[in-house]
Amino acid sequence: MALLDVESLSLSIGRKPVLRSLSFSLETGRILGLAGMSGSGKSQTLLSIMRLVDGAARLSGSIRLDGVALEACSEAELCAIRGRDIGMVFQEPLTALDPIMTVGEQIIETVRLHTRLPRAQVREVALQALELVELPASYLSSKRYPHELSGGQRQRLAIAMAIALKPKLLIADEPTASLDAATQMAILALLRRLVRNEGMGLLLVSHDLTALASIADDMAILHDGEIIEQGETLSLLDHPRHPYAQSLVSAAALPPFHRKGEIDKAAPPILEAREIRCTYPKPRSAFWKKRQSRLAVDGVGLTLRSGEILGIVGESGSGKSTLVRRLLALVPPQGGEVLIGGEVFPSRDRAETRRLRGRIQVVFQDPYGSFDPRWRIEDVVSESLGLRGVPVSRAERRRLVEAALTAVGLDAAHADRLAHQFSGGQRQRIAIARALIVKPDVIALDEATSALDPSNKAQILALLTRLVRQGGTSLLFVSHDMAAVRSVADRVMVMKDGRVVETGATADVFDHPHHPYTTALLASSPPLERVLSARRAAVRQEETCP
Amino acid sequence: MKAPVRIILGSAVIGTVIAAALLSLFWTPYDPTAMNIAERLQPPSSVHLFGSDPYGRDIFSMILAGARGALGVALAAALIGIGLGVPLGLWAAAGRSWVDEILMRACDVVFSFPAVVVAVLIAASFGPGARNAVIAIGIFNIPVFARLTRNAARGQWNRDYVWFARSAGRSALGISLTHILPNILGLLGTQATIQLSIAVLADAGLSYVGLGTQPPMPSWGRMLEESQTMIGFAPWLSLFPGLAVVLTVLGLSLLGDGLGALRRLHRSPGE
Repeated sequence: MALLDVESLSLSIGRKPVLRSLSFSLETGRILGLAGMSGSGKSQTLLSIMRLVDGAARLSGSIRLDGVALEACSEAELCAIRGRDIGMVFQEPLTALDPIMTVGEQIIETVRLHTRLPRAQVREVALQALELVELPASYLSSKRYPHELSGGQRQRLAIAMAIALKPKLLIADEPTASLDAATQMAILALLRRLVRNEGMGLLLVSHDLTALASIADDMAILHDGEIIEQGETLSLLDHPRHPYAQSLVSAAALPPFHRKGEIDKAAPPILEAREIRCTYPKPRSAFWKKRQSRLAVDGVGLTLRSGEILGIVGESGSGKSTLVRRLLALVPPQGGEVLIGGEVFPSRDRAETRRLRGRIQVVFQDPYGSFDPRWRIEDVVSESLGLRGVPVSRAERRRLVEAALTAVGLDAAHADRLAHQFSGGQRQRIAIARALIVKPDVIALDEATSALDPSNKAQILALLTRLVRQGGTSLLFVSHDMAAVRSVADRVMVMKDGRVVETGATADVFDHPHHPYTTALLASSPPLERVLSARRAAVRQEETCP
Repeated sequence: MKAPVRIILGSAVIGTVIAAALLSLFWTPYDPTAMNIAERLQPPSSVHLFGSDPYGRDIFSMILAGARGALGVALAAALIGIGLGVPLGLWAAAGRSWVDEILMRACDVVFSFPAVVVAVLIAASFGPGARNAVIAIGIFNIPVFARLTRNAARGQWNRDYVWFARSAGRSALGISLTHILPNILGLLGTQATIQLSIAVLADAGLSYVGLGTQPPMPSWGRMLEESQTMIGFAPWLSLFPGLAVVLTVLGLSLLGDGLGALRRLHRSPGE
């Protein structure tokens, strides 16, 4: 008998079917990866298993946890099961932790809530949990609060709380999506160890095929509320049969979108930055003390030629976004200079600065926060038209908006809609159209593909390279996503703690990194292919020496 | 209570109060200021719907006319708060850090005074009357709106669309007016109804101590004050103005609460 047995699970909310007859099972000591893009029904599946779907939803099918049919349980029984037998880990640990409780209280409270153990034993259980997730035992009595921990430590704490009571089933919903690459690897390895050593089953939900490939024993691919393919991880990813599964796997592998040998190295750079410095004021440590400041960008220089794509990589906090804001003159200059086509930007002359702004545009990461929620797409896309200095008639404006939308593969009629009517991928196209409309020489993309799922990401990357190929624009592609950078950039610049540690042609940097940081960065985000071959090797080894 | 129910109930109550105030402009059963000693202290009846006071004035007519004063003072005070507080808040959010610091510390200073005591002080030193009551209550609305606007606007300033608007060359003033303000209007509207209810209460309080609307113009607060010695044998004297204040405040609170809940429900995912 399997630990978790789900049979023909269906869910509809209102008249809309959300899940269609899902069946899968999970054994103790194994990891089942549930893969799917946003909106495919992953989260609803988890909520259905915990029977936490809201009252208006209709749920059918059977869910057996260790032989107990959850659909037959009363709400009181379910509460006991959720606390004791199922542990849950969420994407953003900060929202799962109580901000006003210290780290120790946090975990002790969880244990006390579900057991009737005496104080000393509660501490004992909490200590064991901390040890399992490799957090120091001193955390139990320290005065630290969740916001003082790093993202990885927070997620470890959240996992400790989830496993403290030794649940049979651990459910993790995108547990690594908000972490940087190196931390992701560590958390995944931790989850794998816990499942192997502590006798749990893990249902791991993610849109990141590479993450799933690295630890899941079995996988199920969810699309539109249906499992279109499931099986053992290696065989599924090596030979996906369903066309959608095939497209997912190929998108995760990210083919090079790259074109070579068209950059005129003799031409003057279109964008140049020298010795850029940016600082942020730190909060005062005491009222009478002088304000300290933190150096976010420290002496960075770069050049970008016409038709070139320069990738800037680094972990979060390395100063990438601050650098972008400085290049766009969104923060006041504090040192160094930026030249656009040889002219200093921002200029002392306001009109001149406005004109230069039209030559460099930007696309941000968040496809939701990028647009004024009240504006029609036509107004959104045409916002920077004023930079051209000549007034634009209504008909002309409409024509330009429609042309920009068509250029990014959207329908001209979309101009009349509101932003919330579009999917994440479409919104990112709109953001690109908005940047394109003034025909800039440079578009800076600040993590522009990081919030997208693999198929959308691949499409946006293809669109970007096509725009560059068609001429007229250069890209500054800023991302922590090594695979994406590798597939589009001509040259790469690696940033760490506000400094450039390595720069060079993409192939050189990726294949022969010089700086140890670059090596570590590459090792922490291996391409899908390498993850799969590592697993194959491990399987072979197990077979030869059991 | 669900948000729509609160909104409907609140609007119904406030609609009635507004209707009463408007009606009193053209018609009241009796002249609310006309004394008629022959009919003094009549209990509620078909002749005097809510009874009459020691001078024989018709309570119902006084309540109707009093609604005008209460709403007028509250509305004017809220408008002072919005008219000065919102621009200051937008400025604090958009301006340099020292502007923000000065404006917000100024708000702290105003907040640190007990509002009612200072209102009494203002009304007492500049003379009682509706106009000074408006100013006294209005001054305390300014920091409420300034701080709320500043905090909400701060949240918007960090959004990517504002960063983009800046890269599109829009000025801070332009961004504040085209992007920030429209996106926080809902919040401000909700707060405005709450401030209105507080102002109605404050106005009643000022009138009660004789610093609000002056006789002979009727006011709910003064009616309460005048009736308290007679509460034993003529309870209607205090019952009806009391109910009028309570219902108006309740209606405004329900409306503000409901609007707030509705706004939270309908927030777009990115908001």
